[in-house]
Amino acid sequence: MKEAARTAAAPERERVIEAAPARAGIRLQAFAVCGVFLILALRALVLSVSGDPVPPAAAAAPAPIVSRADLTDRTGALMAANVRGYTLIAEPANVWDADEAARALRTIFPELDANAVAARMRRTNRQVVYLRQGLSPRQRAQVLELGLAGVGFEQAERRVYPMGTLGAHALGYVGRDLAPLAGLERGLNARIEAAGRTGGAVRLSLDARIQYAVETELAAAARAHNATGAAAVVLDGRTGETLALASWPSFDPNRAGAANDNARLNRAVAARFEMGSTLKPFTVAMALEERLTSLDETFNLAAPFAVDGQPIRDLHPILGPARLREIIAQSSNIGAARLALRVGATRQHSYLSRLGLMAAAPIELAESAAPIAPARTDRLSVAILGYGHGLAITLTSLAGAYTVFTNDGARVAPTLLARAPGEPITRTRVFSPGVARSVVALMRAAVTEGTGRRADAPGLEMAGKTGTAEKPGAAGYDVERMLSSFAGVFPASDPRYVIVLALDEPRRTNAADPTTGGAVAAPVVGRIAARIAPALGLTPARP
Amino acid sequence: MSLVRAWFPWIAGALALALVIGLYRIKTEAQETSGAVRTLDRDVAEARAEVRELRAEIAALDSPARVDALARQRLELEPGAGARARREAEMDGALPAPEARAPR
Repeated sequence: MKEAARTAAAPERERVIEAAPARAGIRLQAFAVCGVFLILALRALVLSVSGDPVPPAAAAAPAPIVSRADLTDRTGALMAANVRGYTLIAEPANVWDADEAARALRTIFPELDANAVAARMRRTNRQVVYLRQGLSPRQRAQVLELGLAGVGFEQAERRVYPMGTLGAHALGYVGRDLAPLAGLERGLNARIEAAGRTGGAVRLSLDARIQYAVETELAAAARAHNATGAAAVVLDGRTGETLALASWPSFDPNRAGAANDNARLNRAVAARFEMGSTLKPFTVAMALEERLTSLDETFNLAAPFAVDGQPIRDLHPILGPARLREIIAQSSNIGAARLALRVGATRQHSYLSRLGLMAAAPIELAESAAPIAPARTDRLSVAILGYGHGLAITLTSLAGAYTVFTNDGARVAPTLLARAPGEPITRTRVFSPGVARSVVALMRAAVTEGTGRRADAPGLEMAGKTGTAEKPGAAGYDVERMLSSFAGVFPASDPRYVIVLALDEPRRTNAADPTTGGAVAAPVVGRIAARIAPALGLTPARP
Repeated sequence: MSLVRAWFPWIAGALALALVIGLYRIKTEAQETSGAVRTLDRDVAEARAEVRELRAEIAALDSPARVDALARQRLELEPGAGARARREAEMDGALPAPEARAPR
């Protein structure tokens, strides 16, 4: 039985042995197929997890990246932008007729020297020659229409200032390589580059409408009085935002290289002047704050007054008894000097520091110049500083100091950046609110009945102070070279705006014409205030 | 059973081949889409550059100096004097009396 079973199982074993290689082959194939499936499944898994096979950077339309962001005014009007620029080039080897090509190019660029361009295009030893930089897309299209063989373009970014000369000194300019060279372009360079990377814009505090009104009135006055220069600053005195910053003569930042240094000089922030009587309101405020005088105190200013043997004189002598109102309204040097002596050197220096007049204005301009402050603290230095001599400051610093009259005695630093709504503003307390309001009333008197009458803009309640400062020369102060200025705030009943304007060395058109601040600077301020009032939303207040 | 065994490698191979071809086609289409997206990106960048140039041109055309010059030249307008400004309530006194209208 056992033997029979053994003989029956033998062929079965042989069949199993024979089939073993075939099974192994099938297993191998099955493993291979499974492997392929596994690879495909893994790939499908990767694709399903990674999502869109298109790279994400290409899937989303990128923000426009420019090396420098747009600069806009506070209303969004474009003041500076990067656009595509082109450089006109030629490959001399491919130019058919250099003379004809040069003549054709001259129809688009009349300033090109056809002979020089043709000579350049004949330099066959050069692969490429450069013919003209800074082409606009329109000029490029015009050149393309000429169909000149061998003439082409290189593309690069170009900085343009669409409003031309408007706000030139504040905006500044860049070099051909877009390196910042002056103004906000330089002062805000890091911010402008950072905003450019994200496709954003930098919003300035300037208002193009106000800037234009200030620039045109300033230029007209400077020309009318044959001044060597002029400058003006308008601030929102509550926030410190600079609404206009103008300097004359001006220049076109699109062609800054063509302007001379005199035109490029920003007289509002880089030029320092002894401002003269526009500092008297601070002297009066110091004396009131320290309770060294009162609005009712009367002074005898008719008698000659000297400090350490140096006589101090008034341009408009006050013969009767005078109060602070007359000292400001009639711009008495003697009155201001006597008050300054009461305040003393230490307190005077402390107040001037808190007014921001002993340091460069912290505005976003690299050109902002530090003052030339007096090193001496003797009685004469203190007395003359009381009426604005011996301390050379910039117009922007003075405008910043005048914000004490628009902030109830606290000072706000001027800025050229638009402030966001609700943005905290740092204020430095200098005077008490009562003192600030009293001095505004005195400055209003200077406009209604004093030296600043011509600054009065009907209904706008201008309050301010004129300044007529002799400029220092080789042989002391020169009576023929004046800085005539006006600094004020308006409207006096609720002061908000600060305006400071100066004409440098105005000349007499005839012998009878004065060149004082009241005669040449105050009327310009009045005209500017009247022109910009609608843009400020001010309605003239009438009795 | 043996039929299945015989055809299994062929069926599996065909499936694997189909999947490989499918994957190839998907990848090719993805590359084509990627290329199209890049072209669109270039077009968008070009359009944006043109928009920047147009914005600059608009700003130049809108500049106060140009508008002022045109207003003086074409419309004979100039900045109004502050003294001529009136509050709304004062307009009745400042303007001439309205003419009486004949009844309809």
